[in-house]
Amino acid sequence: MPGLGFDNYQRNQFLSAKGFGQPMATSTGTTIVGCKFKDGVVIAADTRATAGSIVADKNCEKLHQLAPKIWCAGAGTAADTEMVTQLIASNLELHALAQNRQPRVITALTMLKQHLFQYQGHLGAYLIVAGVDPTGAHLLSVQAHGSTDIGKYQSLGSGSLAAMAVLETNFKEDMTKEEAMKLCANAIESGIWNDLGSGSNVDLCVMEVGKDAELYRNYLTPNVRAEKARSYKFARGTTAVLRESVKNILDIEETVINFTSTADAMEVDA
Amino acid sequence: MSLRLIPDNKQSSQVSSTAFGTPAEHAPGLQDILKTQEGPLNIASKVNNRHPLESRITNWEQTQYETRLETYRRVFGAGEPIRRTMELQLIEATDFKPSVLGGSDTMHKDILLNKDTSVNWEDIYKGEFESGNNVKDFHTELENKVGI
Repeated sequence: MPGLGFDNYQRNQFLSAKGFGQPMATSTGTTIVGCKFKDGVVIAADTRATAGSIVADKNCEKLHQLAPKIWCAGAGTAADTEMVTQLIASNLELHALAQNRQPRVITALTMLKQHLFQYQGHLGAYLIVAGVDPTGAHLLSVQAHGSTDIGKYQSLGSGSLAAMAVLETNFKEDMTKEEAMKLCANAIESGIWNDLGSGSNVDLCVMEVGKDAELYRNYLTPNVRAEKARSYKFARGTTAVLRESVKNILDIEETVINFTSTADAMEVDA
Repeated sequence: MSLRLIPDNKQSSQVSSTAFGTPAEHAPGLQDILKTQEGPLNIASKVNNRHPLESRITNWEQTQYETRLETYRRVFGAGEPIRRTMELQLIEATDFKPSVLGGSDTMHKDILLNKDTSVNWEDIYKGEFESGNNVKDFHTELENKVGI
C-alpha cells in the first residue's frame, strides 16, 4: 500500500510470538525545554539518543528547523520526530509559497497535530514548537496523540520533571535574551545530570522578533571525555615478523612496442 | 450522507472470496492467480490480525472527501458534489499510463483535490513497481480501462 505501510505487521507479530523480539527503535529519552522572553522565544535540548540502555548517539541533533524562523525540539522515537518534522517543514514551505506569506507557528502546530492525530499516537513524536512570525513570538507543544499546549515555559521528555523544577523556580516574565538562554541551559543541564535518558551536550536556538533565528549547536559541553592518562600506541617493531610469503595474484608480462619508426606513421592525407 | 471525521471502524462479519483480488474469468469465485502471480489467497490473513491503524489510514482520505462533499451539498446544493465527482471521473477516464511505468501523472487530480501544495507519505512511499510492490501488469490494466 502507498504511504506508511502495514505489510510486515503480521510477520512481526509471528516473530515476536516465536521469541525473536522486535529491534529497539532509537528513542531520544531526552530533555527539551522552551522559554519565552521579551520579544522572543528560546528552545533547548540535550544531545543523547538511546536504544534501550545503550547510548546510540552521543551528539545527536534534536532541534529541527520547520521554517527559517520556526524551530522545534523533538522527544520520543528519533525517526518519528525527524521524519514528521521534515514532512511538515516541506508542507509549511509549500503553503507559505502558495499563500505568499511568512509561515506561522500555529500553522505548523495545526499541521503537526492533525497528522499525529491521524496516526493515533503510533508516531511517537513529542515536540516543542517555537518561533516568530508576523503575529509575534510563540511557544507551543504537541504530544504524540495530537493534543497541544500553549505556555510561557514548557518541558518534554524523560527529563522534563528535572527541567521543569528549574523552570518553575527561576522563570520570570519579560526576561532578557541572555537570562532566558541561561535559564534554558540550566534546565537542560538539570535533565542531563539527573535523568539517565538525557546526557552529553546542550543545544540551544534563539528566535527573536525582527531578527534571524540563531542556532547554538553544543552551546554547553559539560561532558567532554577526559584525556587518557597514557599513550597506548605501540612502537614499530613491537611484534617481530616470523615468516613472509608473497603470492602473485596476476602474472605480469612485459613487452615493449616502438612507436618511433616512420614506416608505421599514420596516413593523414589519403 | 455521512459527516465523519474519522473512518468507521467496521470489521465485517462476512466477506466474499473475490473481495481481495480481481476474480479470474476461468474461475469466477477465486482470485486470478496467473495474472497477479501471487498464489492462492489466504482470506484469513487479509481479515484477521491486522494492525489497528491500517483501516483508519487506508480509509482516511476517502472519509474526509465524503465529509467535504456532504458539507458542500448542505451549503451549496446537490449539484456541487455531483459536479466535483464528475470532474474527478473525467480525469480518470482520460488519463492513462501503466502502473509498471509509474502510473498516470497526478497533476490534475492534485489540483482538484487541493493537494498540489502539500506532500504526504503517499508521495514519498508511492507503493509502485520500483519499490518492489506487485502492480497490475499492463495488459490487465488496459483491458480494464478499455472494457474488454
